[in-house]
This record gives sequence, C-alpha cells and structure tokens, in this order.
Amino acid sequence: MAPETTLASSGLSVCHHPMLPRPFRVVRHRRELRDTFTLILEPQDGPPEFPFLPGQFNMLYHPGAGEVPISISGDPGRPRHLVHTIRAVGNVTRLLQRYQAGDVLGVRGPFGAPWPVAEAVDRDVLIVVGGLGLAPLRPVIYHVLRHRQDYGNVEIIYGARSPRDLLFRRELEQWRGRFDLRVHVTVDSAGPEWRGGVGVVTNLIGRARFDPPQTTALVCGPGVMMRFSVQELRRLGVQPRDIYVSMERNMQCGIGLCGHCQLGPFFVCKDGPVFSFDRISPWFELREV
Amino acid sequence: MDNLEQSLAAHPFLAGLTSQQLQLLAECASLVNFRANQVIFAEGEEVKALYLLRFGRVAVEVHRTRRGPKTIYTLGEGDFLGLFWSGEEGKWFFDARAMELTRAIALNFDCLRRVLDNNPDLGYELLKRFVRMQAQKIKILKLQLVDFYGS
Repeated sequence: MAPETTLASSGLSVCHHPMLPRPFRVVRHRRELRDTFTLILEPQDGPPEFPFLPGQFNMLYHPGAGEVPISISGDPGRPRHLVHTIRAVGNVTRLLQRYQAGDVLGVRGPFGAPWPVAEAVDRDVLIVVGGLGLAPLRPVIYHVLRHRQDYGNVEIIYGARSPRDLLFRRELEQWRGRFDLRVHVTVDSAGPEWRGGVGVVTNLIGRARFDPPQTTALVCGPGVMMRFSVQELRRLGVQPRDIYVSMERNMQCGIGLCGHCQLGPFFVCKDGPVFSFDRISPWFELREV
Repeated sequence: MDNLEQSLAAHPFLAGLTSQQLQLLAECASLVNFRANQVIFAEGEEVKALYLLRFGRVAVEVHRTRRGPKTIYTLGEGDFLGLFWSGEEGKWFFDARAMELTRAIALNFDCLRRVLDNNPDLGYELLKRFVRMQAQKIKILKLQLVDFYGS
C-alpha cells in the first residue's frame, strides 16, 4: 500500500539544485530482512542515468515527513537504476517501507566522499562489515569484481547477529563461490543448522589473506564494531592511512551548510562519510562527540 | 622429526617451541579425526584430552532443554579446543561438535599435566599461551554480548 502523500501528488518538479529533490519512481520493492528492504528507483524525468561513486549517499524524501540519508547500495556500473537498502527504524524510513512499484519519492544527491577504489588499485582489499554496513560497501564489491584484475587479494569479512540477519545472502553465496574472492561470514548466535562461523568479525581478520603494508581496509558497521576492527587491523600492521571507515552522523543538508553532522573540523556529509583512519582518528574514539 | 612432531611444530599454538619441548609433548599426542556432526565431548564429561585443530570446523555449544543446542562460538584450523573446563573437577563446561570433517592433535590430559609438572619451563610457556588465548576468547565472547552489529 502506497503512502497517501507522495512526491507525485505534492507538486514538486525536477530541479538540479542540491537542496531540491528529484522525483524517482520505485521500480521494485524487495524485502531483505524483517525490518530491512531495498528500493530500486529510476528517474521520473531528467537524465536517465544517476552516476555515483561507491560510498556516496542520497537524501530520500517523503513529502510531509522529511528526509533521511541513505547510502547507495547498487552497482555503480549500472547507473540507470538507483538502489537503496534501508532499515525501517524511524518515521521516514517506516514510511519509505510502504513504497511499492510505481510510487514516487524525492532524491537529493549523490553526496559525500567515496570509498577509495582508485587508491586501492594494485593492493589487497580487505572489506570488514557488520550488519547493515554491507549495503554501503556493496557498490565497492561490484566495482572491484568488475575490475578484478586491478586488485590483489580481495577478502570480505561479514558479521551479523544471526543467520536470519544476513543481508544479501544470495549474493554472499555467489561471491563465496568465486575463485578470485574469499568471503568469511560469522554470526553472534546460531543454532546447529548454521554451517558457518559463530564469533565476531575481529576474530576473522587475522585469518584473512592479505599483506598488511599493501592492504587497503574498508570498514563499515556500528561504531563499536568499527572500533575493535580498526584495533585489530592496526595490530596486524595495516597502516592508519590505509584503513577507511564510514562515519554516521546526523546528516541533513548533505552539502556542509547546516552543521548538524559536524565532527571536529569535518562535516561528515561533505568531507565523509568515508574517512581514512589517520584523518579521523582524533575524533573517532572521542566519547564526547 | 616424525610426522607427529611435524604436526605439533606446524600448529600455531606451539609455534617457536624447541625440538626437545615438542618431543615431550609428542609423548602425549595423537592424531585424531572427527566426522561431520560427531560429538567430540559433551558437557559434564571428564576432560580426557585437549585438541589442537589442524583442519575443519568445530562448534562449541550449550544444550538448552526443549530448544536444542545453541552455538556459542566456532573454532577452526589453528585453534585450540579445550579452553573451558572446570579446574578441580576436570569436567567440560560445554559440548563440542565437529561441523565438518575435522582433523586434530589430541593431547592426553593426564599425560600433559604430568609432562608439564615435570618440565616447569615448558609448563610456564604453555600456561602463558593458554592465558593469552583465553583472554582473547573472553574478549570475543564479551563483544558478542554488546550487540556488535546493532545500530
């Protein structure tokens, strides 16, 4: 059932000003998990493609309710479809969960600094993700697999609460079946039917194959997971400048004007959300911010 | 160096031990295999051996009445199975089950205690490694308690 107020009925028109949303039509709504869903969108008018870089996000707008920053989870090599994977946790995201094919919502973006896929060329790539953190890193995986010859060892370490909380499970299984990629999956808790690991992602980092001085590590997940993952990566010899994390803050304008997402000298929406650890470390572990 | 000593020397838990120390441990060691789903030990059973895993995957589980087993953590190649037993009683706290074909080195518990008591340098070295591994395992279990992947 579509929300009663949609962009189509709100009278908003196409405009490329960064503060005004573009109308996008839902092509498909896919349920991922109990509280998580994916919207596949296409522009209702204007340019038919929506180029973006892995790690960038959009502000998704439900008229009358507001906007939420959501990372793009689709393939940057297929810019005709804009893909967002969303957890329904607040007012706007719960409204977005009701969107079905044909409904229209507003999109501003793309915003933010991307994951360093160019800087990681010729290096090992270690992707450490927890929970919904796989969504913003999925574009990186698509990119790396499309340009597989440009990278060294590629390892994905993914953790979730339980087997039923694994996001993109079918794709994980496909990736796991490849010869040029290693996928490690672990959960916090499982019954005897689960054939994978039980434990936390930090325990798997040491089992991955990578050459620490030649590795770019991309870490995305809840703060506590990133903190301990970074500690483990540093213990194993990955340099802080080669560790990238994705910071979450209260992003509203998306262009560094409103100041809601300020973190030390940075605006996360504009300077991030992806930061190298050496850049963000003074504020990364600061409890007061 | 025979096959058993080579296997002992290759295991990360014993890395760096001298040939003489490995020979002492070899007195207590044997190579064992477990089929998929085979129970390695069960809660309450007497501790007869500790295991250095060489291949495969093991689930350490707790059995819940009417709800069946729940996996607490899993171990794999290079891990040490046998951290959690109650000291004086010498009984296992948890169940351990091979999730797939698993190969291990079993260290006979009574033999190991005798060898380590008679060779305190080796005993102290293994104790340090044991404590380090236990601290690491407890850290991991604590992280599992804090909803590591919740937003």
